[in-house]
Amino acid sequence: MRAERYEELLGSLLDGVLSAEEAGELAEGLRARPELKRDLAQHLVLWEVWSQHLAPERSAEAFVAAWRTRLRAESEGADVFGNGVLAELESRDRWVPTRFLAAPSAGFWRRICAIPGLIRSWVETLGLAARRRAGVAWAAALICAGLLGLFWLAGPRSSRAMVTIHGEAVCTACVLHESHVHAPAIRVTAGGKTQIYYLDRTPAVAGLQDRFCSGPRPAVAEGTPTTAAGRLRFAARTVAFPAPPKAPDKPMPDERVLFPL
Amino acid sequence: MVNAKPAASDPAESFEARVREHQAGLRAFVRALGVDDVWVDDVAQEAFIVAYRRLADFEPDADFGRWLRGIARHLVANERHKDARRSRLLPMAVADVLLNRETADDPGSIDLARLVPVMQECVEQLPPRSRELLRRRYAGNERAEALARELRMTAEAVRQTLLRIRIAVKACIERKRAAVGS
Repeated sequence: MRAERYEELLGSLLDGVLSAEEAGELAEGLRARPELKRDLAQHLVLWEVWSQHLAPERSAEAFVAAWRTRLRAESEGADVFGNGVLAELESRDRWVPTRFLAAPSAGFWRRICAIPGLIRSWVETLGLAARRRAGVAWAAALICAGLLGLFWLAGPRSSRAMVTIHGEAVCTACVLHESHVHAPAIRVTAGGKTQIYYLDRTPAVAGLQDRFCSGPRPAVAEGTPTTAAGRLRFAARTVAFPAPPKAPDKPMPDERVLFPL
Repeated sequence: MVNAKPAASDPAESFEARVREHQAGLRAFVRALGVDDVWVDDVAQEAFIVAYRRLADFEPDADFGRWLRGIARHLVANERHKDARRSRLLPMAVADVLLNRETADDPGSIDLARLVPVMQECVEQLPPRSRELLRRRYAGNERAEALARELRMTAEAVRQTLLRIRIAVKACIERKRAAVGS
């Protein structure tokens, strides 16, 4: 294999666009010339190391955190996780509707699961109030408030506070390397902190997965944030990808003359 | 190298020190075995999970890194049985050659703590535009197709430019390594 051809194929391989036919040709060349095999392995190592060094989502911290999450998920299994969530909901004090009202970002399911407890608490309170004459008006007021609260709790998600997040579109598999599942997410960095919003599969996200896989790219999403299992989730109503700033139109210089070494 | 078990009470927590120590080298090793770049972290994480579950099989006096690389090699070899669409490897013909390579220059034994600063020095010597291209390719994870659209070049031209940069950086590292050796 000629050196020029090897370099052409190496460039394609490192950019992930080597076809099966080209791969066969390259493999044949590698078998014939062990020095090329060594050269290829060295390039793979060098640029892997460089990627780890430069890409924030590939840092040592990100890798260790992703490993920890994966270990926990694989250890617990789906049932344990689900039971854990239910147990947490059971342990919460139900007679505190104002707490829910004060936290519009609280999870939909958390509120739905709280409904039986709320009803029970209201019924108990109404029972006590009705035993006293002066409590009748109070009881009627509570019935009205209770019904309004129920309508609010069962209302559509879109009726809750909408927020807009500005960040980078990333894929949980291609970019974050957290799982096998390609799912859209938005990485928001502010005040030195980075947070990942995992997007729900809403119609606004449908058909956009390739944009997330080819990220990170600037993204703006409008929707409703929630928290589930310690993760930030986001039900996006709209997702937009603003164009990055344009590069100057100057042609690329000839790189061969620019290496002083 | 951490071979003795750390004294934390939670086994996962104590194992985390090993993950932290070996993750960079293992990822480089996995890549050199012919794993596609987007799946490198995934395969490396899997290797750490297998190692964690089988920690009882590990001899405390043995080389933990070598044991870990053995697990990773086994996982990568298993990938060959998957169909191409589900495989996490480079095109099979090339992956086969890499996987069957002699392990004399095992990337797991590369001193990454020394390699990165040398690489940094070499990249610093590139012209700004080359540095920027390299940064966007590796920090921004942008492929040649995307870069070409923005730079008004063909994807092939971007690939060749990037390759010339890579070859120059690698040659620079080799020169520096030889200079230190002599």
